[in-house]
Amino acid sequence: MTEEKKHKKVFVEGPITPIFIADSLAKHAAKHNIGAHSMFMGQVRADVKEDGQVVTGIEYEAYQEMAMETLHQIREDAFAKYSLTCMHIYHSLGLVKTGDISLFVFTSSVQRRAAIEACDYLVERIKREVQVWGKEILESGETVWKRPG
Amino acid sequence: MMNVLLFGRLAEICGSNNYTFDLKDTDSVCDKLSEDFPEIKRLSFAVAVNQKLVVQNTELNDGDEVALMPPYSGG
Repeated sequence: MTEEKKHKKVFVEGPITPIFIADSLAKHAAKHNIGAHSMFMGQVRADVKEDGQVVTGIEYEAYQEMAMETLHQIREDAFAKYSLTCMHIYHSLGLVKTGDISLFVFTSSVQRRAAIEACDYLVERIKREVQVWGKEILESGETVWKRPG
Repeated sequence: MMNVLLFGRLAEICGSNNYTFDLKDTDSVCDKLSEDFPEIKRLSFAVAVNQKLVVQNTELNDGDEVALMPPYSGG
């Protein structure tokens, strides 16, 4: 397998837009063996900090070379565990404002159960294992490193 | 020489996301940074050599890439 094939594009600069998500879905219309899709979208939340300041966005950074290896392994594991037709993972880098999408996981299968369970499995593993860090930007411009969660 | 990459809060504390050192193992890298930036002693972080996680002290060779990584917080 070539490096290019092995490492599908995951990281996108800035937010993942609703149009991008709709386009991703539309691309599957021609795959007539699919009977179910499941999607997870992580949205940047306006958390309120202890001092009352509100989060206005999150700035993401990644150790991309390692993150791509980790994602490759997670993807392989998911394909081995669930009967999936398709799997797509996208994560933002750089600034994503409150209300915008920073993580998009999209699974497709013949029957719904595999797509739903695999989507959940992927989100959990991505959050726990992928080399990405988020820095919350507060109203004042101060920053707080996001806690794992 | 080895390239040391720092991420998240570690990079902020150490004032850079990239250092070049000539040290024999991963413990020496952590010791050197802890001496220069004592604040990082309070942080927990994982260590990777050439994109592979290491849990024990690991010997380093010329050209190795060492990464010090705080807990991940993507998504």
